[in-house]
Amino acid sequence: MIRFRNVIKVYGTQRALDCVNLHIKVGEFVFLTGTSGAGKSTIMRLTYREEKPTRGQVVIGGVDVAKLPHNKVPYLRRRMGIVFQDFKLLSKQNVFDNVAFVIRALGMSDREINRRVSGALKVVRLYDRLDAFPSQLSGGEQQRVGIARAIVNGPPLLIADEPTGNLDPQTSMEIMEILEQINNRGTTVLLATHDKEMVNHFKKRVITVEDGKVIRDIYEGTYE
Amino acid sequence: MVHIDADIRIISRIISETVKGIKRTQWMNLVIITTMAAILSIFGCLFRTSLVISSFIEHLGDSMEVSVYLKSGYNAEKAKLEILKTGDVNEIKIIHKEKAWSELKQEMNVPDIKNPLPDTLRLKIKEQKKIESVIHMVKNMKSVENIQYAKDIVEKIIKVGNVTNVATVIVLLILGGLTLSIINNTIHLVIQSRSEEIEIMRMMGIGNWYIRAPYILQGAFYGFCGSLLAIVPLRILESYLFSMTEFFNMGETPNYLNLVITSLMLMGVIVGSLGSYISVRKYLRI
Ligand SMILES: Nc1ncnc2c1ncn2[C@@H]1O[C@H](COP(=O)(O)OP(=O)(O)O)[C@@H](O)[C@H]1O
Ligand SMILES: [Mg+2]
Repeated sequence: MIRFRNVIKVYGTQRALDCVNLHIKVGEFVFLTGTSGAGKSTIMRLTYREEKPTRGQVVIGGVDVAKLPHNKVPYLRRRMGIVFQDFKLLSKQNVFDNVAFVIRALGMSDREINRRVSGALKVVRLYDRLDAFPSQLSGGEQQRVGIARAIVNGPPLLIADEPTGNLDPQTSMEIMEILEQINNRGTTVLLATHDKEMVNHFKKRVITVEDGKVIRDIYEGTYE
Repeated sequence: MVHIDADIRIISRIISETVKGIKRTQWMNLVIITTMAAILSIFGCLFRTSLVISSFIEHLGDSMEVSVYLKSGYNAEKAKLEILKTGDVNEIKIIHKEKAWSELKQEMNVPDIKNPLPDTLRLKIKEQKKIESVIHMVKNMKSVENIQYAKDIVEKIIKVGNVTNVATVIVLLILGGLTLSIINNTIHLVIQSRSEEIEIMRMMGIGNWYIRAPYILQGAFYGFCGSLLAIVPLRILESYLFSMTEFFNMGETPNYLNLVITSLMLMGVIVGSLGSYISVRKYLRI
């Protein structure tokens, strides 16, 4: 699903990634951990082609993202869901529309849109808040809307960069349980976090980066 | 069928996004549309006036005759045919010297001398623009002794016509550029104020044109509304021009108002969408 081959990413003079090799298979749940500035977000941005590698290869679902023409990037992103630390909801739109706009643009019928949005909101247990606006929701609820939006098009891959970074521990656990549930249905999940408790609790594959290098990669691992 | 349905839905959603976007622009809509209307009115009125001047000149040229005096010994019919061949002359009337002389003798008491008059041709030229070239050609004919026409007036008319045309084109370019830059800047502001939203749409894999089209349509909308408003002053001008053409007895003038309104709308919509297209290309990085 995701493969990094000798990836180097340089920002100006700053070397954010230094020869990273990764292989994440379909259906896996992977924690990407490391201290702040280690290079987690850079790996995420390379995965959804917000950046191109300076050197090396990033292959997502068989596609070399560096070779992907500009106008094909939306097609790549439709096959993945992205969840952000700061939720990035449309503040002037209600919960339903925040989730629906992603598939509206694909030309689906209103009925199909209703069906999918309801389905996604049921997964995140927010079906009763369809008409609420983001400002009327708690942080945890907002992030659940963000997750519903990410999965509404049924993507095979979910990418979440510090999705619980702005949330308290209990809410974080709830979010994690939802993501685990989504993974159990077959969606590959790549989650960047530096939350020790969470990593230790869920016992998934853990890839640790430091100074732009992968220093550890273990299954059923814990945060070191 | 499924694809056509999807395309129709996408188009209708783009339009409804456009409507939403316009609603969200609030009071700024009024400012832009009023400005557009003002500029387009100036353009429309100038264009309309220049059409009147042209047709006025046309009218003057029509009533202008050129008299061609032939050398004796040349055949008037042959000369007439030769001039007709240029295709720029509407009508040639031959006045034979015998007839002219006898008419003259009837009208006044002239001494009984040999007929001093030449055969004369009276030309009516099709377009005033052609006057110069026809005169030049006729002057150089072997059979022609002399030519008489209101030289000053013809030259002035031609000059006025040229100046009007050039001025119209220059003003059109300036106003076009002005409109373009107003729309361009407005849409830039709109894009800036929604940069976060655009960013989110990009991340969610929304197609480039689905994101861009509403902004382009918004620009086209401003141009369209501006040109609709600009029709009002144009109508007022039209009634003034009508009484003027009546006064000069220019007869039936073609219905220029429809032409002017059509070009006004076209200019509004084209420049509006072009201005926003440029803005979208420049500032909406996808
Ligand atoms: N756009 C950028 N320009 C310059 N340097 C950057 C940029 N993005 C990240 N970096 C640098 O790259 C390194 C890795 O950053 P990042 O991937 O965001 O780390 P993490 O997400 O693990 O905290 C850091 O040293 C950071 O300063
Ligand atoms: Mg980060």
